[in-house]
This record gives sequence, C-alpha cells and structure tokens, in this order.
Amino acid sequence: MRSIRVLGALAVVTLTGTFALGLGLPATFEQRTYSRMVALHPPLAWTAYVAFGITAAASILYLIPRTRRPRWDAIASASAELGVLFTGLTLITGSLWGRPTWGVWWTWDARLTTTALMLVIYLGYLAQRSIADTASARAMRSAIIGAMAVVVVPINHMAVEWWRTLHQGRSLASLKPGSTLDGDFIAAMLLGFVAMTLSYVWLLVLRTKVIEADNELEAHALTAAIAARRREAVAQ
Amino acid sequence: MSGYVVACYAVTIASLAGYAGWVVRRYLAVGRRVTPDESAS
Repeated sequence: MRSIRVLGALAVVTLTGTFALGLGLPATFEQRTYSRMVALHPPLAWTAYVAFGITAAASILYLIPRTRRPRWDAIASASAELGVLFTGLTLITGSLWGRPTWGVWWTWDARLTTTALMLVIYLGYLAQRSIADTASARAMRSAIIGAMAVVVVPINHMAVEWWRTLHQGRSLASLKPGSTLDGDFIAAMLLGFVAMTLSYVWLLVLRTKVIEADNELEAHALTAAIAARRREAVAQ
Repeated sequence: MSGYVVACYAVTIASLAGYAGWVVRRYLAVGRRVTPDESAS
C-alpha cells in the first residue's frame, strides 16, 4: 500500500516536472514553439509500446500451463487498457503537432496508419473481453489474442525506417551521441519517458487490483446464483 | 504560446488525470468492499 503511494507520488512529481520543463523549452528556428510537444508525444508512444509488450508477456505467461495464474490475465487486460489510453493520446498529440508543421491533421503515412491499426487491434482485444463466457475461456482467448497482437508494435516502431514516411525518424535514435537535438530538448524528453513509464506502472498496479477484485466478485455472485437456483429446484 | 501546444498539454493532462481519478476511485471502492469480509473472517 505504501509502495503504491510512493509510486503515485513519484509519477505526479515527474509528470509535473515534464510539463514545466516541456512548456519552458525555447522556441526553435524550424518549429517555433511546436517543438515543446517533444516532451510529451514520443514518451506517450513509448509507454504505449511498453503497455502492449507487457500485455503480450502476461498473455504468454498465462498460456504456459506451468505459469498460468488469473493474475496474468488481469495484468494483460489492465495493460491493454492503458496501452489504448496512451496510443489514443499519441494520435491526438501527433495530430496537434502535425497540423502546424505538416499542414494536415492526418495523413495515411506508414507510422500514423500503423499507430491507428495498433489502436483498433487493442480496442478489439478489450471489446472481446466483454463477450459473455466463463472466466477461464475468456482468459485463454484473450491470452492468445494478446500474444499475437503485439506483432504490430515492432512494425509500428520500424515503419519510419521500412517505408518512406512524412513522420520523422525514431525519437529514441535522437538520444544517441551526434544527434542534432539540443540538450534541453533531450532532458525534457527523457524526463517525459520516466514520468510516463512511472505513471503507467502506478496505474497498472491499481487497475490490476480493481480487475482482480471485480473478477472475484463476479465469481462469488455466480456461485451464489447457482446455489440459489439449486435451492429453488429442490424446493419444487 | 501556440494554441496547438496548449491543446497538446491540456489534452494529455486532462486525460491522464481523468483516467487516474477514475482508477483511484475504483481502487478505494474495492478496498471498502473487501475490508468488511476480511475483518469478519
């Protein structure tokens, strides 16, 4: 409980720092103040990758009989939900950056298209979880989809290398020595990576606990309903 | 400052705060729901 609070406090502090540092970045010759979005957009995309990676890892652990635990299914579900949130924010912030710099809100560029595809795939993953079924059947079906869906993540990440795109190169590559990105911008982006990752971990822990409690309640309610139906049948 | 930059930060802050608020409320509600059973056992 205390560790969750500490994690939450660290997430809030680093996020506040990212917003302050990002908004305080100087205007640049090419992008004017639009470059201030560098503190948010790449870290949001990175966290979406992490979230879908964790969904895949938890799904694989559920699929292996020796490591199969309901907790892996709860983690996979919580992480996919967070991944959808971060992907949605990546698309919105990217669109807000693209409009003044590219002149369009949206274009069918390889990176943008694969990001939209990633969002649709994981929305589908979350939607299929609400299909009425037994908990174990739902968990098994979700684990198979969760383990397969992650294929879209490396395709999305490498899209800017594999195809001619309007989108700039990989942001992580700009952290290498010799990069043209100024130190202030790198610092803001790095703090953004830390802040978004901490926020993700904190929210993942809380959401997983909520999902586990809901699953437990659902199982108890089902057991109670079956017992009540049996009593009715005996009374008749 | 550009309206695009303000919108970018506002959307991110509002979305993260909104989702975090919803999750924390659910988490606290779950804690209240579980506690009486645990104390009874």
